[in-house]
Amino acid sequence: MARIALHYFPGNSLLHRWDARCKFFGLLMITGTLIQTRISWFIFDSILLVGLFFLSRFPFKQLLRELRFWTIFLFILFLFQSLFTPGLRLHSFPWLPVSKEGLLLGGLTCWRLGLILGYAVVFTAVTRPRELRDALIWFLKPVPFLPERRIGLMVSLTLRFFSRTLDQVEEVSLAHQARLGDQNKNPIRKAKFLALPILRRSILEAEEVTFALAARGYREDLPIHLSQIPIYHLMPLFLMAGLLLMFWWIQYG
Amino acid sequence: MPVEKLRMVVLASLMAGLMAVGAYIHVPIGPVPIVLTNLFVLLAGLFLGSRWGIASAGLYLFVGAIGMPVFYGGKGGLAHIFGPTGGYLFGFVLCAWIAGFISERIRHRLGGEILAVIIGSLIIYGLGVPWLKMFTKMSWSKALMVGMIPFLIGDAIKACVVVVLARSVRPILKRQLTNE
Repeated sequence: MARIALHYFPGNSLLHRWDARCKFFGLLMITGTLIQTRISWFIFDSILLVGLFFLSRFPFKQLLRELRFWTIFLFILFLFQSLFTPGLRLHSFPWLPVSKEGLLLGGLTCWRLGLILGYAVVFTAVTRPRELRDALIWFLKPVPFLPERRIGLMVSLTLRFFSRTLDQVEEVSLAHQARLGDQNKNPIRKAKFLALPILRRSILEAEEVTFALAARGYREDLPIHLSQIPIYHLMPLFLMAGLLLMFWWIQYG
Repeated sequence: MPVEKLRMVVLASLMAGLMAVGAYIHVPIGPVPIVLTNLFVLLAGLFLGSRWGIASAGLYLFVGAIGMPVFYGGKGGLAHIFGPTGGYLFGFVLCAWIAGFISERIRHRLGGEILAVIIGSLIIYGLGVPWLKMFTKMSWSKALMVGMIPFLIGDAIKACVVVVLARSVRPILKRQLTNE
């Protein structure tokens, strides 16, 4: 399910070398555009996403294979929206229990979710957890009374646990199936046999991480020195902001 | 940093990660879908206590705010936090604190944990429903009908699961601590 998706993927592409703070700003700008409901914005964001995927030199085929879980998830979401949104039936297929409005709403919702997911996959694939942590510390440093170093660490750990838990869900489900556990019709027993091993493994992993941090002498009072963002790292960000502003002007100007 | 404090930092991050996973297990009905995130929010409160419970839920919101797809159905971004379902998200933070606070006061007794889970769940609606009403300009009765009533049965089941899980997981953690 999530072997590559939402994990860091080592590489030396342009995106990998781009400063994490600029990547973070870029992600914030893009997620801002995803509030829009116009299809033209979705097309623009999709083209940009495809471009970024190529720039990241990500193993696209492998990723597509592993995104099956999300494809199923988005399809279920699409079905629900199409079936339960009130509206007019389709003229060409009146026997289909879906509405025109439902199909449109379901399609747009799935498109938007796919884009959010795609950008998150690209961002996590080309940004080391340590770089993300440092970028967050840099962003939060000016805010008074915030333990920026701890927040940075916790965010990078949360993302790690999020992707690891998704992996564990798949592993435990496969182990459950191998023992014919999926033949059990009782949903509570099924849930128990899935949830408890996942929670247990997650806690054990959390313990390992705790000891690893303690063994490396994790401290919050050490000074952190982050270099200034080189001007050529800022250029793509300005270019992106310019493109977004131009597109916004064309749409609403 | 002492190992105990470091452990709480890691466990709070783990619970925030689980809240994000819970958001992918949902039933999309109406404007507010049934998600398992609140199950892990309550579990964070019971499991970590009020201080680290609120930290965990706040962290979950923060990770979503920076654009990661951790909210229900893989959504993320600041716009979602300040959207129609934002009240439920802020309710999660208060819920984790309240559930943890009650659970700490009654020293993890069964009756008290059930009370903590019930009050925690109601807190989510206490913030979520008025916020939903304000955003969608619905009447109170309609906001309650779409934003609370359909989820009560699911929440009752989730509350039972939370209490069972909290009581099953606590010994695992205790065993870990004694094996140290």
